[in-house]
Amino acid sequence: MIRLSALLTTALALSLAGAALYAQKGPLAESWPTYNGDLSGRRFSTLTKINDKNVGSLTQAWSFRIESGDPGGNNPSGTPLMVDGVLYISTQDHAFAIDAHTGKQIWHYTWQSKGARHFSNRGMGIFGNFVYFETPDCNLVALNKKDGTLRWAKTIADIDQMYYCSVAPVVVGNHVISGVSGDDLDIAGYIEAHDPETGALQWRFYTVPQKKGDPGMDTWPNVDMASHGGGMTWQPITYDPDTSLIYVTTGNPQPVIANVNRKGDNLFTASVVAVHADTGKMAWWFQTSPHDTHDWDATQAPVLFDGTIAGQPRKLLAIAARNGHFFVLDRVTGKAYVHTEYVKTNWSLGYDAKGQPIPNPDMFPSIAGALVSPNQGGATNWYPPTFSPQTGLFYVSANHAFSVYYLYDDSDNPQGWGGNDRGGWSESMLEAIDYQTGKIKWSHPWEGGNNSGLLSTAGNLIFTGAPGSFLEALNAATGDALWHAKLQSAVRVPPSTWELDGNQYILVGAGDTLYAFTLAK
Amino acid sequence: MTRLFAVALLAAVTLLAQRPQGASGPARGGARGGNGGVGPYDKQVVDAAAADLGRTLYAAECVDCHGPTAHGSDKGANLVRSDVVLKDRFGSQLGPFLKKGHPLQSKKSSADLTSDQVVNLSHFLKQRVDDALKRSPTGINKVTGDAAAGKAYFNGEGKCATCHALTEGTPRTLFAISAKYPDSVNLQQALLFPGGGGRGGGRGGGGRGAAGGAPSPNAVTITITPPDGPAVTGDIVQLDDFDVQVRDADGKVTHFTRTPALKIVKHDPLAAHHEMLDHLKSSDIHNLVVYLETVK
Ligand code: HEC
Ligand code: HEC
Repeated sequence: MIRLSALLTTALALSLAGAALYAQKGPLAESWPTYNGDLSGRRFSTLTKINDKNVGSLTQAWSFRIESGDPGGNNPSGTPLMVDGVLYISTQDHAFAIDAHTGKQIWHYTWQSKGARHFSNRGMGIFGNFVYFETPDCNLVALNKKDGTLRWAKTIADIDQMYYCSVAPVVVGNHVISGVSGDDLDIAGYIEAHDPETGALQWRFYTVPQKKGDPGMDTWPNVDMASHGGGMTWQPITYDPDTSLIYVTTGNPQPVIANVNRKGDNLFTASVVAVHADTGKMAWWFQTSPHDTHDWDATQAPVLFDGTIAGQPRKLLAIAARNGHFFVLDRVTGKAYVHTEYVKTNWSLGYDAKGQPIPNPDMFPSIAGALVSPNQGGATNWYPPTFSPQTGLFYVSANHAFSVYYLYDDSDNPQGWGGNDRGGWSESMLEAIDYQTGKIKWSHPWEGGNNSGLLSTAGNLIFTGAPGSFLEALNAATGDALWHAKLQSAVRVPPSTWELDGNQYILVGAGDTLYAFTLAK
Repeated sequence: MTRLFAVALLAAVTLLAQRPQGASGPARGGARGGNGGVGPYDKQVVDAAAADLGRTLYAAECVDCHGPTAHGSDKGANLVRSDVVLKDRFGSQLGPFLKKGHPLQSKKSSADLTSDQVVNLSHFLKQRVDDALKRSPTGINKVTGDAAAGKAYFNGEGKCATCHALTEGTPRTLFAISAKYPDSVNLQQALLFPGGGGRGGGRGGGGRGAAGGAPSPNAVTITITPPDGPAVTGDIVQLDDFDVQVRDADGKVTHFTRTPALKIVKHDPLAAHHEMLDHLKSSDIHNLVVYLETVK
């Protein structure tokens, strides 16, 4: 008896080690252990049981309705983790474990909130026996994975300063990486590393200069503006174990729209920043929107893959930024190999020597208004893209969108926002981008607005939400629509996939409900 | 001299801040539009009457150094970003801070400020923080431009005159359009996004909405031509990647399964307006608005 349980524990420990390792490297198939599946941000699964030949016979296996007892806590937007047959999902102030075979709840944890903006929660992280999530009132919470009891909680930001917290923590080695959200008042973005076992703070990396002499200080008028300069970290990080670098994407500068008091490029806002995992020190940066004035953060997924550029094998990082530009960078050095628009935009004047767009001052928000494309929602936004090494295509939910940007505060020292955009027109499409050239291989237009995260699989499939509350599968090579299923509301939890007991499942969430699909028997 | 100017400015700024948030605000609203959800649950709710008293005291004792909106100056810190202010609840931080001794314009001792005065100051400063969080129109927006250049663009390069006459009673007339949109910003929005720009726009918005809603004269219609049958034209009931349903003029709904052989042609009365968005320059837009304001 004792022997048996010891054996079981060993087996469990082994499979756990497997899962942890798995998150770091190797193909994505039998589990989904981070927000993006693995640490590369590709959202590509090697599973082929469901493929372009048989996707038409997908049927619903189960659905699960989240009942948190709190109207704000029922609608997830982060991708659930799936490890050892159990799904872990969080909403604002709540976390749940669900049996992946049946869709039955195993446990539910409730956090007593002290307030802050309840805007969204993007999901969880996992390490050994613990799962992690952030609460709107800025606590990084570790729960025992088995029963959902509290292990520890650490305050990671000050809600009096108008921070709130939403990002999915990601575990890298023995670091739980957390981020902060909030662009209401002028505050500084940062990421932190915490000890997975104890929660102890290991390091903090600020995305904007905090004092004289800090890197990037020369791109701000003074320390006060820089140290309150924004750059929120509300996108889960990606990580490359070979370079030991964490890839962080940063939010817009503050004040957001009015900008007379922050002349300069405003580093390291709206940037991709590479940070050493063990020290929190910056290795390189690339700014997707120098001196942003349109709320175009760079907090889109920095997707890591290895590829070939001009005949040379390269370690790459690709990002389709909210401002409508697509970049392929060398993830060792930050050098840009590809920079191009993935939708038509109107706000920039070409690229600088580094390959960063040069903003056109005529498109800055003004008293009379500037017609700008994309709109504030962006050419894309938080919803994750996907990269398929099989097709060599980077897929992104894109919007060709217009609105007018107005300045509401023309004083010489605005704070917070000082303006906004208004009105608009937009059309949505799913785009497949050739990473080597930045050229659009195919573009699938949607009959309505669509802001869905994506999944690609080795079955030559792309899964996405589609207008009209559908989950849809497309041929990854051609963009042809192959299958769809009607849900109760629009997809918000991006599709993910894993194999369990020999069956491949597609999991997606819409409104307060998770849906699992598998092939009909 | 400086004081007087600052106080006048302070009054003006406060007036602006108190203006009701116009219906002309951005379509967004909801969680991100307001600032209700920002900060902790136990945050201080501003008492407007106390804030008014605080404003008077602030004007007398603080404004020279901290500026009319409390955003700071060369002589004093930005109080909207100050931890003393952000962590304050009814004077809990501000009181002890001022007790320690802080310069006042009157040269009196800040330690002698009464607790009521401190609470009033606290409400006034919290009100300034709330103001900084707002992202709604403040009434300063106005479209300015060159009417003659707008007229030339309307009749020439813009090809506006091919669809819009400027005489009363003609279809799509823009005669007296400024009576419909007295605010130049609203006229500009109508010009760029006719029909209210209802679909899409703003954060996370998007799309050429199709099915549903009341029939509008500007709604997109479609013509479906199957390989083997007659074409059907009508309103869109359903249009996705697999199914199309059309309602014809008699109200009859026909259902088609989408195949490559099924031809679908859309008719969008506003297509010209959507296409022009990619080419219009801000100066042309502003000139057009100013010109249209003169047509009455
Ligand atoms: C003669 C100029 C002057 C006047 C008048 C003045 N202050 Fe200040 N105040 C400053 C300066 C300079 C600082 C920054 C140094 C410091 O903290 O003392 C400051 C700091 C502060 C801070 C702390 C900001 C922080 O660092 O978080 C508060 C709160 C404050 N002042 C409130 C007031 C109030 C309320 C009044 C009026 C009752 C007032 N001050 C009047 C110059 C002034
Ligand atoms: C191909 C035809 C076409 C062209 C060209 C065109 N429009 Fe329009 N426009 C329309 C239609 C259709 C409407 C919608 C009418 C309605 O809603 O009553 C419209 C609406 C408008 C409105 C809003 C009217 C209201 O009552 O709200 C304005 C202003 C306007 N157009 C200005 C222009 C300007 C300026 C140009 C040239 C830059 C232009 N249009 C070019 C077809 C056109």
